[in-house]
Amino acid sequence: MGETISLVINIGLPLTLLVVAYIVGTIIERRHFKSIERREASLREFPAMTSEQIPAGWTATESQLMVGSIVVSLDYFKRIIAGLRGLIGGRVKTYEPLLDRARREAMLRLLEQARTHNFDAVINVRLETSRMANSQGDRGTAGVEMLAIGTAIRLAGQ
Amino acid sequence: MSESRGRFVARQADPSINVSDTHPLAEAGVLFAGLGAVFIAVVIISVFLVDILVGLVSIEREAKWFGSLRYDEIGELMDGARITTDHAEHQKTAALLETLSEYWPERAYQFRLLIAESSVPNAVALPGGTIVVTSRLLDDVESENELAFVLAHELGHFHGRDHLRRLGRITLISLIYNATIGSGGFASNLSDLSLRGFDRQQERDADRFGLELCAAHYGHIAGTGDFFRRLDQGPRSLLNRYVDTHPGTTERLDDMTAFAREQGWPENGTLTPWSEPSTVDEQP
Repeated sequence: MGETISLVINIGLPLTLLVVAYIVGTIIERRHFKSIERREASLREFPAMTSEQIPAGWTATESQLMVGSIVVSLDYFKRIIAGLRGLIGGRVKTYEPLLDRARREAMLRLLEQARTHNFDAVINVRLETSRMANSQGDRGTAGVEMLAIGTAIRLAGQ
Repeated sequence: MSESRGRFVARQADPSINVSDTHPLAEAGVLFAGLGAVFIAVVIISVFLVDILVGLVSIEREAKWFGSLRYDEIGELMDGARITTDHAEHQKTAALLETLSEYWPERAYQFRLLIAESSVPNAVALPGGTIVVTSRLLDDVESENELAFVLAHELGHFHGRDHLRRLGRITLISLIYNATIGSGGFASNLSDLSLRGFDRQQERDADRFGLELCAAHYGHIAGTGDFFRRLDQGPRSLLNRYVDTHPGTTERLDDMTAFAREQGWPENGTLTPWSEPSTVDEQP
């Protein structure tokens, strides 16, 4: 009996959690990608560039620092699969969509903010990440912050 | 588009290059299957490796390492039961163990019998020659033959040096596990499960050795399977506990009967009583 209980707790529980995390994680991810694609399409005409200089021929009348940020965390499924991947090395495929979402969401937040404030473009766009430490020591990570920064400019005659 | 913006052409970036096409479940499947195969290979190799290493450890060395286990240390291994030799039937049981061990002339162990105060009928062989029997087992025993088989079965574990093998396997596999997946219940349970096949083989061998000693001592094997038969009728929880690591009771009894027939040992005979009748009429 005690044996059965410990089997259920030690093996059954993680497996159940794995399945639940996969299903929930997939649903959330799909929804997020849909939202990202929709918003990206609406921002397609809004210029964002990495150049530090205002492009030749543009005349800026106003500028402001814009920040878009998102904190993402792993679900249990991704964590386990990435952990197994960590044993043998190689492309950590389960992290890719997660970081792709984070990058694009941070950019979207930056651009949406700029558009809300009636700016016309964002230049000198930079992406930064910072790892957040786990509260339970140094095993794993609590999440990653994706920070998008840029200078929003308003152009003359707009 | 305004003049001041120059030649800006809006284009949607292609995001797909940053995300691989592999389905996460396919990735999970490949990783689990691949690492599972590696794990099975590691288990098999370590079992052979440990068997070789156990052969190198002399019984004297084993006794030196484990023979001085303290009662409280043993108690911890027995779910926290109190370990004692202060039990009404300790001496009698130890004497029976001594008698049985004499049928194994090559033994090099100094056996020590201890009693664990527990409500679960059980007997355990520990490295170094220690046999622990629970008080419940002694309370339930109906014949000397039945108890003799339990003790002889544990002697069989020493004969196969199963306790050392098991200890070695578990230690080795846990080490590998902790180095890779990390410690925790999951790892210990998985290593435990992966060794079940070997456990069952050990139990079967110990049963056969036990039968041999009983047949030599009593001239028949009657009563030897009674302990298992009673366990089988007991509460489910007990049964579950037992069959998890041991072969199924029926399977086990069948194997014992078949082995006894093969050896030509009589299956029937007079049982030697264990507990004296509680009220003895005074003789005039």
